[in-house]
Amino acid sequence: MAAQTVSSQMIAQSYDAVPYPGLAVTRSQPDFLETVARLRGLKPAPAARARVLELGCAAGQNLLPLAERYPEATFVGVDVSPRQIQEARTIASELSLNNVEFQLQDLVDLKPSENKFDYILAQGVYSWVEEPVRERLLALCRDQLAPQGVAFVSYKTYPGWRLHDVFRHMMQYDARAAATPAERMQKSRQVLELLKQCFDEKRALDNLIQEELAPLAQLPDAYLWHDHLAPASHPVLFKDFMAHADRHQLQLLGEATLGVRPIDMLDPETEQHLAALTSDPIQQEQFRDIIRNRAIRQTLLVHQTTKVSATMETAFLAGMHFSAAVKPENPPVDLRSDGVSHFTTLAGGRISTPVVLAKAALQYLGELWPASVAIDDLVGEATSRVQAVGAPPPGPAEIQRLQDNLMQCLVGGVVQVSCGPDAYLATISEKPSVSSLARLQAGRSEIVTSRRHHAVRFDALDRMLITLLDGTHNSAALVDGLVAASQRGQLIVSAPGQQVATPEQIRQAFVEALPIALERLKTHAMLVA
Amino acid sequence: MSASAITLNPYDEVPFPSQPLPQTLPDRLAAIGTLFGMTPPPADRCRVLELGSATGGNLLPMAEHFPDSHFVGVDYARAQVQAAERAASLLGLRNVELHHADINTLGDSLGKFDYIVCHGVYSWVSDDLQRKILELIQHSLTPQGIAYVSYNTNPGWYLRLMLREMMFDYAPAGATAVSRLARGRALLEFFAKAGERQKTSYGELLKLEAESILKHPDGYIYHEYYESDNRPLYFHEFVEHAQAANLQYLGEAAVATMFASNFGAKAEEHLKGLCPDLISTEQHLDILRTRGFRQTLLCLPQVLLRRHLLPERIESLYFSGRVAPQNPNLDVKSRELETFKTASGIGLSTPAPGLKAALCLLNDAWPRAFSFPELLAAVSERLQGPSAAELPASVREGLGQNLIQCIASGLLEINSRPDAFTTEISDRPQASRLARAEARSGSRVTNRRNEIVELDQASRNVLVYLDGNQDRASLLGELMAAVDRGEVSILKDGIPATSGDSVRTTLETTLDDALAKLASNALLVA
Repeated sequence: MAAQTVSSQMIAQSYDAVPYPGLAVTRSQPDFLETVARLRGLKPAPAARARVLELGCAAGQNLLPLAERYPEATFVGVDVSPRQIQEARTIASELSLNNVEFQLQDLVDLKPSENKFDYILAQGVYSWVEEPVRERLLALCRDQLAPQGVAFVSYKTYPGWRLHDVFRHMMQYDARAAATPAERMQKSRQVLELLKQCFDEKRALDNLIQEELAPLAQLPDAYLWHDHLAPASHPVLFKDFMAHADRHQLQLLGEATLGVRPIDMLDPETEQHLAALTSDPIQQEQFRDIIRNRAIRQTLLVHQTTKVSATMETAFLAGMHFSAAVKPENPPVDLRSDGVSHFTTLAGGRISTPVVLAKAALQYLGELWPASVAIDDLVGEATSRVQAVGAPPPGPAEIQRLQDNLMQCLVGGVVQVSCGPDAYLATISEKPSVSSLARLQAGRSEIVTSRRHHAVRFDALDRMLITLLDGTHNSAALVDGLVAASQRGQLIVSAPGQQVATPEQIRQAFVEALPIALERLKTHAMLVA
Repeated sequence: MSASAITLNPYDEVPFPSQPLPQTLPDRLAAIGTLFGMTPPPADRCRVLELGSATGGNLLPMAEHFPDSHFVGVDYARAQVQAAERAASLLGLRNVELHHADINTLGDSLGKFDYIVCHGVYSWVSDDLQRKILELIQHSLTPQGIAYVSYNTNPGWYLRLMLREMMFDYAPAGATAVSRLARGRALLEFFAKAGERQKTSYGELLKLEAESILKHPDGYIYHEYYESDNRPLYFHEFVEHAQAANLQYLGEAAVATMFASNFGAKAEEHLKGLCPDLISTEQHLDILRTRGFRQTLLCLPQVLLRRHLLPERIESLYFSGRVAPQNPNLDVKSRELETFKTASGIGLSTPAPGLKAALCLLNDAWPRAFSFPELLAAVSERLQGPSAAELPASVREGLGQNLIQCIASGLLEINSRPDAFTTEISDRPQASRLARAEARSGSRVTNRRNEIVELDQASRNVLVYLDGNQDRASLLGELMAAVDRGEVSILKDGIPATSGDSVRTTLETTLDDALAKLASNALLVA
């Protein structure tokens, strides 16, 4: 049976009817793409002055925070939904952002720009459109990407999406007679409920279905609409995506879902077996996907004419900034001897080293977090800390070893690197401020974009506080603002055992909550001054 | 298609194992048609067409089974058609026609058919050929005729299809079948082990799926996994294809899968609210079962089907079943709830004395089938009540209702014809020519229920002589000769014995055992 062809107009209507609640895509931010490229020996344009094109930009949820963060960079967003483009333009003008342009355009009709782009982003497009548009998408990457530029393309992939194809098929089948989006949603959720109810825990597949269903049932309607009820859905195998990229003279740089690492190895036994089966890196990666049940990829592509280093070299770390959420397990860290010291990461990982320079570097990074430090300053500080306890100045071999250790930490996900300095403040000033966009977002939704380009969900108090952080209020004024908000009924303070708190109790509650909330905002990289 | 293109068929390289398929027998199809209100042509005087008849593994036993019916087989692999022709002439079958032809160019030249069987073809051919198959069925069916079409379905293939693609990529076309199979197996073993090491539900599933493919013989793997066109579809899509070809959904060869009640009260309740019709209900059941295969029956759109099952419609049918009572001391006359179970684990609990008596009778007599009147008479006798003729109508209807329930839950088999075998051992027992020929060359023989039976050496040796002319003494003589030739060994105190009275005594037991085994496996025709 021939698949029904879905026109761009149908896709536009679908997004106009139910706008996609898009979020900032952390690993599409140009600074990350620049970092991955530099670590593999490329020389891409610095994010701060780059030209960035986003295909399928929705209402600018990804591009607007970037445009605000990089005033000297240029951003172009393209989308086919009039309603979403209008929203994006409205916010850009409210924030007086002059470096971002939103175009209402079908990708197929998009006119090539005279100037190439350093970064091209396409989140949630490739698998959500029909073949001519997919073709155009990669053709645009080929034609519009600067020689050292990086393209970010996300897509649904198999085997992970295979089961969701079944869900999607049945949801569409059940909703085939429904007239309105609301009715379609309601009909299509019934099959999820059926699968949940008639679960047989003895069968491996039923267990998998339950695991996959749980998050699906929690998903807000809008996500379910665009992922499972969208007019088009074309998951691809990784190898097929790469074959498509190859036809457009594009090659693999990395996989953004893995961070900066080029590949995510399986257990050693499986890897050994895999290497014996095939030496083709694309086939190896495809087989890893089969074993992992990968459902989504965010693949980074560069021109085939660009030289990509197979490994990440320490030389490529030059000029980069390091940060790490690490804490010594048993402080103080022993910098005098080669005894092993352990550090734990925020994510629950653990790292151990006997090397004094590495210990000093991790100790320093932990103190700085969430702030980052340039590699030369990190090496310098580690050196002086070691010298301060009487060790001789380290030689070039020891410095190289420190860099090797830092690279290991990077591959292991213990430390993060970026090319530019922090876009946020790691201290709380007298009159703190957040970005204008954050204040605007906090007034409208629960989700606010951080200066590390994360979409963060905040509670009502934090959001009210964010709207007040314009750099003109000190602590006392902020407490006044929160009290005023509670008088307007926008914040509700309850006292233990009592229905209504007294005005004194309310003020006292905010006095106590304020420093904790500010600390939270700082940790989430919300503060800019 | 040119003649040379026909002979360049992948099936010519590795023959696909051709097997009898009991569910395609015309008398089984007729019974299902009858159940849903049709009046299908009699299976013992009908015309049957098989599309994709391969080496005749399914068609030839059917032809032997129904000598007054006419059987036509079509296949596009020359080597297979020739093998089928040789076998048909060896068996002296005069009611079989075999054609080396392409379905595309077949047209209406073959005439009309009461039963059309198309097994293992639909999922492996192009959209165009799929349409052609359904068109051919539409044009060739007689008014009350029934077609059987099997195909792979989603979601059962959801992971296997991808493994298939990986196997294909890892051993692309061009290499020999043997080397492709070896590489494919190596890859599956890798996935099975790697999946197990993941320690996730998905990893477990990957392991199970890879292992389930590895279990198959090479011939099956080659065709199922290296054939160029295997595209599972959803049940509702197949029904849409059939409707587009002006055909109607009759039911499934595995009738019990049509009923939501077999999936538990919860699912039944849920499906009632969700599904507006039978197609939708069955589609959702496929999802719950992760069904990967269907054997769908189609009929012409003019046929008026009756989905509500009524007792009077099954009174012309024959019933059989291996349904063991779970309580060895059960009293059929009491109104105690008793449970019966099939070998595959389908169970039914009932307090009804009539049904309990019927199920006990069927189980004891398995594989024998009983007509409705026979069953009714036997039940009344077992319950020591009035004779069948004097039974009140409500008893008759009650048994009918109960049997319908058993059919719907998959507990009993139904047939439009009496058994083509006997479970009695006569003075000069006889087996079919086909079974005798098969027993000469191997241990796998086709019985009169169109099933494959795996025989031990002694039963094989007995079977080959069952031409209806040998009495017990001459069968013993043949067995003795087999011992002398060293084909059958008789151990006495752990040492092979060759002659003497003690050997004769042992051989008598061996013969009794073998005949009993052949009888209970539906291999005796007289």
